[in-house]
Amino acid sequence: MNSTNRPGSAGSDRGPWRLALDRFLRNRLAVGFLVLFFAIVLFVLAAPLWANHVAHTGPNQTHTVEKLHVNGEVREVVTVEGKPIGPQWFEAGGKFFLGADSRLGRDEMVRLMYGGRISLFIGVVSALITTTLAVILGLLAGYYKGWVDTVIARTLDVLWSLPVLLLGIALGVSLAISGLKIGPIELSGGSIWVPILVISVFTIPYIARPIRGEVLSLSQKEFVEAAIAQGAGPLRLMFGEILPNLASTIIVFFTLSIANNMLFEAALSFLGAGVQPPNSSWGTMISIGVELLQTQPLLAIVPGVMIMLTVLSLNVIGDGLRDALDPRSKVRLEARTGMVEPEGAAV
Amino acid sequence: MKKLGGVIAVLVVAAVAAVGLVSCGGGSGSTSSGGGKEGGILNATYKSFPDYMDPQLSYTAEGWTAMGEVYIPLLTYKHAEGAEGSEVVPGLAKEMPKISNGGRTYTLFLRPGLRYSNGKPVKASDFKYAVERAFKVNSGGSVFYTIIKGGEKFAETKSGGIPGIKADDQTGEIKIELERPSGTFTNELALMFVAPVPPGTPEEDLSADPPPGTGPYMLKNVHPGNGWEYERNPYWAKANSKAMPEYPTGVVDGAKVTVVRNDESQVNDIEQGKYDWMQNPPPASRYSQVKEKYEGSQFKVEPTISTYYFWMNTTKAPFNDVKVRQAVNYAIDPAALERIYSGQIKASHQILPEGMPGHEPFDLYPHNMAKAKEMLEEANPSDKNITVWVDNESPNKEAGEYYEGVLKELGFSTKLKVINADNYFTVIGNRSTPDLDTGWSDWFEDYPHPNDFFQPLLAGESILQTNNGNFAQIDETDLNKEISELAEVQLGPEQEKKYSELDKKYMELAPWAPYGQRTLDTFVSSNINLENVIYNPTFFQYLTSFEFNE
Repeated sequence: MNSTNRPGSAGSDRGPWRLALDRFLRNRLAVGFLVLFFAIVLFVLAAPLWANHVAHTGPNQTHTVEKLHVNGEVREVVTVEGKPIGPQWFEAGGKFFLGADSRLGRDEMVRLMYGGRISLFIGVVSALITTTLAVILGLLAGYYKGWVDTVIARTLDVLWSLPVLLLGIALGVSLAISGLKIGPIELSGGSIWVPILVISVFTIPYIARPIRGEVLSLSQKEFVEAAIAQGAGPLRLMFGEILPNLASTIIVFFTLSIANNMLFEAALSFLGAGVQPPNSSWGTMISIGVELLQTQPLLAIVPGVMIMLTVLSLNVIGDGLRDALDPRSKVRLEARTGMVEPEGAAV
Repeated sequence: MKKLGGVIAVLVVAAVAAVGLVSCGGGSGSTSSGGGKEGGILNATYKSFPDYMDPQLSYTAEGWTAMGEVYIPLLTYKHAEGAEGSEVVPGLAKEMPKISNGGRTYTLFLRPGLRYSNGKPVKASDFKYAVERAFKVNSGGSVFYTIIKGGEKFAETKSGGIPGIKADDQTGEIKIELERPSGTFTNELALMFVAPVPPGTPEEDLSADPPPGTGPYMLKNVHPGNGWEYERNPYWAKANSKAMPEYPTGVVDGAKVTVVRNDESQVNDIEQGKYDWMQNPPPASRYSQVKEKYEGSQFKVEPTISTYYFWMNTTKAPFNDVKVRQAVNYAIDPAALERIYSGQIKASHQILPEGMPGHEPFDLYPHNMAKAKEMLEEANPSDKNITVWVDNESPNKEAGEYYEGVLKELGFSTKLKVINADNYFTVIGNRSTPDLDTGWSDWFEDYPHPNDFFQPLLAGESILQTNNGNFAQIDETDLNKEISELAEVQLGPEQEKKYSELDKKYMELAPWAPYGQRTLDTFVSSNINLENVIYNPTFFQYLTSFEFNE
């Protein structure tokens, strides 16, 4: 390897991952949103602490007929007319910090924290499933080509052409009622694995198609031909040679996929086809909050803002990762927009 | 009848009925009863389309409200509110039936000169045709008429006619022979299932093109799922109003009904005068605002004869133990449910609702969570894993969530199943559906007779494989016998007392945890004279009672 320092290069002893990390850390916007994302994760992980030590209630515990004693004043959690109490901030010692969620009198703050766990869990797990399946399908299609490629690519085309949200709602609703049983896999109707499954399946094409394209390109490269010459079989070629070269693409897609899947989950839950009651996600909380938008707007706004911040963070982080892992893409992009930096500046 | 496929269904029915029966007060003329003006087209909105727009088939509140003043049976209900509105009065029949032969024979005479909206004369034999059509189209209401001699056989064979009905088109006489005496048959003659339709009316669902009727309004431009219109029946003024002068003619010239599935939008549209009346209640989130702002001028609370309850499957653990069921009854807090329904439910802990003959208030299970837990500890049920069923319409869904929370607090391991309201009762009414442990339901009267709250909901014979209405699947021989015996005699003070005792006996066995009686409401635009809108306990708002302000 040439030891001459390239402009912007940190040094010859640094591997590509370290270089990528350095590039990412220089992207202040991405780092800022990474910090924000970690703060959100910490916030939702702290749910049991807040629930047990501050609010003294669970996310699904109802307090419909209870009363709060605040500064010598008695306040009903839910009035006889069905109006839930508004934000109490710290006036009631942290209880009903953001008020009650609905006529059931559940603590909105506690549900926001637990709901965030579910939203993030669904986003991350469905992104993992989607990415794994998409990478396998993309590898198979791009490597084998021929009829394998035709079958996989056309199936993905069909899946892509479907009205995803409508189909997701239909599937989500029907699975929410009857659950799903395929061989040893059994999901009950209210399980959060139902929306995970729906989201995972419908978002595969968004990753599988670009992966396939990249595999098609990589499979023509010299290092693959060299491996073939050394007698490497298809499995080694796909998973030992091509897959490592897809790592940066996969990481970027995975990050962006979490954001997209969280939005998909929010939409499904808002429409009643995602997370089932009494469990909450940020999507279901918006759905409940919308009913009271005129009198208690925070019930819909706060989970909405949480979704927005999380998705924004993940998108900016994803962009930052792409720039860090594949700097050429940034150069290409900026070249198109007339913002080419001096050679080497982007490394 | 009717589950309020959400309460909303009932409300819808009421609204449609209101559209159908305009001028209250019972005058035959089309003059306003005061404070309003003649004519105009009422713009109404329903949240959902009725199950059927066919008189022999519809079995929901929406359908009954929509068609209550289009298809008039031999008998009908008085165009009035409250108890007065529960009185059965002659419809197409000249007078109330003459009951003879120990309560087994009903004789009625058709009013002369009646015509359908297509101009064809109404004949006595059309009643027989309507009953047979109800059987042939497999109407859910046909079970009321298997008591007619030969009815049961006809239900199976659908051929050969029903020998228990004899009609003479010359004299207008209709003679109905029953297999056994019935204390409810007069009410059942007032149901729309047996409203006469012209002979030759196709024996299939005619929702898209409803058959001609005899009422003051006729249906037109029915677009299933979207809406329909009413216009005046031309033969009402020419013939029927003269034959039955006590039946109201209605003030508005017609109505246009639009299905708007978003009830928030409905409220906004009523406020802006885009629609004149919404058949369903405002959503819970807007209820107090609407009530506060419009009560007395555009909004009024209406009582209903209904019971909202949680059923418990008495055939399997843990609810096969009466102590467990009683514990659940103690654990339910009606005050909480009152809030969940935004004050639109009146707490009650019994089967028969207020306003139903035989209702005597009592509460065997005043809310006491500590006692509930104690009883459950004593019972120590072997199976604590239960599934709780509820539909997805607010506030029933929230009631189900509350109930699930209560069961959790009692120590059960629960799973909540929220089912789309459109098929909720089909799902829980199918006994092969797995995990039918407990869940939510409601019941609105079919007719003002207490048998309607026992026979279809709690009698052993009502446990059906599909379309089951006895969700608790309770089958108590002694109580079944009492229900049958009481159903055979006409309702009087003695029978009412017995029904009250029956109510207590069932609540001692606690197959249900009843929690209240729903109030519905009438919400109209500022263009409508609210004061004159009649809200009937069975058919809800009558179309003939709507009129525009001057």
